[in-house]
Amino acid sequence: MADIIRKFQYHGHDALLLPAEREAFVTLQTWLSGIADELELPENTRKKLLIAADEIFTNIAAYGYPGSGGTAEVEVTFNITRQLLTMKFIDAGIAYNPLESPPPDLTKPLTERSIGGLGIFMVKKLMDTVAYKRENDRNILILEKHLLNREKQK
Amino acid sequence: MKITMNQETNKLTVSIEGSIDTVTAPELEKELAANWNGVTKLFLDFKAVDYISSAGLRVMMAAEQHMEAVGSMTIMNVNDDVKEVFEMTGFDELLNFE
Repeated sequence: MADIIRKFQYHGHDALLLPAEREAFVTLQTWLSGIADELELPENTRKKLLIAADEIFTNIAAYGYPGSGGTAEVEVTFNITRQLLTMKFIDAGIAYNPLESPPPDLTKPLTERSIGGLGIFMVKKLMDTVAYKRENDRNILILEKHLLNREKQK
Repeated sequence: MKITMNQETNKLTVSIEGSIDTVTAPELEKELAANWNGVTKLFLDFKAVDYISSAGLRVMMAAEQHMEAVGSMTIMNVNDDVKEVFEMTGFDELLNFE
């Protein structure tokens, strides 16, 4: 039997299209919070999704389109059969695979630490799987979070 | 995000409400820097903090570095979800909690 998948819409569109600017995160945050409410996600899961979205979107806004403006698309689907939530980020900025950025050195003293790579390190910890592909000159990052064993979560 | 400042001589308590995210973290950083002149004890009250992303952690790191040189910084009332992020990133060992 095929999985039952629900695609979340944003004002009738299959994806939320945002200017690749840091400030636009507010719109993404509001949309994702609404989805979390609809799915009655545990608080802890809602926060993890928002942090992951913050990190990925901030990366696109900061590095995706150097010297020019651009957009980022966010798609959210929920596989009801598998209780799997998927967030997909698509941008047409410079080719960038965040999974290749080196992890932060958490053992170094505060003053010697460089903060690069911290965001993506957090995303990998917060989500169950993170996958990157480059297709048709677009970066596609797919984040997945399983919602099984809800009763075990906070 | 809502920021409330309460200053008693050299002690400043900053209560933060909402998320410390990519948009609000720079605001917090600005507010701290505008108010910490002469402050030797900085308390950040996290009681009403929803979540913190790396942009917020970056502000914590900068604030800790500043306060370490002139006094101390303490983070209060951290909830379990925020604590999880501090621990995951190793920041729990770099910052002071109460």
